[in-house]
Amino acid sequence: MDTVRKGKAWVFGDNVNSESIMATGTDFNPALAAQSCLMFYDETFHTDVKPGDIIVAGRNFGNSSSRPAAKVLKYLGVSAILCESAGRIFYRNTWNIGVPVFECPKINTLFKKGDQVEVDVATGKIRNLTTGAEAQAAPPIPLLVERWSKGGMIDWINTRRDQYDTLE
Amino acid sequence: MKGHTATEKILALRGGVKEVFPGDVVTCDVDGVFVHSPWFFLDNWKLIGGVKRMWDPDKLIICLGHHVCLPSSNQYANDLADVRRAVKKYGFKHVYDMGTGNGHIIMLEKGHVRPGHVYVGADSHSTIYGAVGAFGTAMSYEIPEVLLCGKAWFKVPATVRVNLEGKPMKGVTARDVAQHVLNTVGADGALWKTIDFSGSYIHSLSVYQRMIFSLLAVEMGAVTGFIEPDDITREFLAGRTLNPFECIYNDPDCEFEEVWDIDVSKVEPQIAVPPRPSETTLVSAVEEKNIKVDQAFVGGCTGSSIEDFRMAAEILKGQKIHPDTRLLIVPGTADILKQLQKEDLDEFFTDMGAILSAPYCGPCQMCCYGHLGDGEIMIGTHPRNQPGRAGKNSGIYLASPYTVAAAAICGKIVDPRRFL
Repeated sequence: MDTVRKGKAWVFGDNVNSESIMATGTDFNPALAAQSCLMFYDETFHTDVKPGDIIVAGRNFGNSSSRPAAKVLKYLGVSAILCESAGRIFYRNTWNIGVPVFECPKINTLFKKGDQVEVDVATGKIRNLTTGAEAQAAPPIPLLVERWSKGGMIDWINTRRDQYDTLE
Repeated sequence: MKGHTATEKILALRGGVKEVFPGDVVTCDVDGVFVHSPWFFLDNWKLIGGVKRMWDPDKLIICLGHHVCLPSSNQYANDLADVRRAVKKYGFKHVYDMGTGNGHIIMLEKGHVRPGHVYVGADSHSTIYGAVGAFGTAMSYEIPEVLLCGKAWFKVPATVRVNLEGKPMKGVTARDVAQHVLNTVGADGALWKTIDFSGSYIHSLSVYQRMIFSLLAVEMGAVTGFIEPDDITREFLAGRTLNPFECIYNDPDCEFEEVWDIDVSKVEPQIAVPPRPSETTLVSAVEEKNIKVDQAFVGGCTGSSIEDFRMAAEILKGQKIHPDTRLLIVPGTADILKQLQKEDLDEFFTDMGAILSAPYCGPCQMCCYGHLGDGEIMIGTHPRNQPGRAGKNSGIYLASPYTVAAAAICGKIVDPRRFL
């Protein structure tokens, strides 16, 4: 399995909240929510983000509401999130939805908007291909990586259906 | 060897292991699941396919009246009808429908939460269950899986203690003290941690006022907001839950990762300013900025108990609502509404021109009614003001029932103590 993700960096500061990714009033519909995704923090993100792009953020990314905000990011093609720290519920949700999240101190200071990012989901090794800077993310929780490697929680459940006596 | 925190003890007990330490990953039996929007898990069950049943239909509590007190659109009414069909199909036992109110308060009022047990909710504010000494936390996207197996995994959180001592000055409420804690700890000061609220002040409060602290724990990043049970907890639970429980406490020699000692007697009225609840300052400082208020709202899961409405009434007595401001009174639950009526507060509020709503969350996010116009300003007792909760609008302030009521009178944000 190819675990390397490459894309253009979108750089954000601290405390970007989940409602600003998937706003109330969009019926939590990813296509609808995508039209205002992150506009409070960067007005060009929702129009200019391209499949493969990577979010690089500061502390507490995705905090606040427990809504599955990463479904919007997945819909827009965001291939990974690198941040100094992530909101706990967002972190769990996002790996389960199938988008990897890595935590690495001061990571958003290593990138400028538009720099080329490379991250290896298997090792947590991060590189700024534009400047040559490198960083090593903290190891993620193994059971989340396993779910991600199967395509997310739903597909992971389907690889182990015999574990649930509630399923046919 | 050091002792364990209450969180570690509960997770070890429900995880069936001798002991756990911060950072361990443990899988626990779940004692209850709170859901307000069941279509999320039902849609995912469809994707999984072949779901025969839920692991235990007695352990799911569905509160359809949390975000809305009535269907807010044709689509919403259709979604609710789908849920009611699923309730029959799967035999879910605990369903609170339109008009019953805020699910978190229902969970506690109706005895669905017991000390020493593990609860997960598909809502970030599920940290509130710690108010009666339970381990309560949010999970969201993983709820469909929990409902299939009855188990949930947790990274065992370290515990930080917020020790609250002293008596508050006149005009300072539990909400003011909680906002001061948010300001002290910060938006991520307790990320992936349990906050243990302790001290004589927290134990002097009613369970409803303790809920404010446990709920707002998530606004500091916390996994849960734990308060050790006491006689007030036991009195609250008596008659609400018939199921047995054992209270679990911190070992006297347990280790807290950090301790904040807060002198409550020094706290002055507080207000959260945009864009997040932890951006808290003095009401007196905001008063100087002359901020006009279009909508004042007493309600939401941090301000819709009978005590909150009594405080609002204390300020509003003999006063008039400002002509440029609308005042919304939204009781948390049907039981709280009944108490309002018993105390004639329903008549009091409506006589003065306030809008009394059926119980639900109110316009904490704009899910039902009470939307803001472009550029309008709202002050409320609800928990959140982050961007994306109210359309393009982000001019939302959070404060005590005293401060909200004073804003309704003056049409702007003012220190409420002049009315006391």
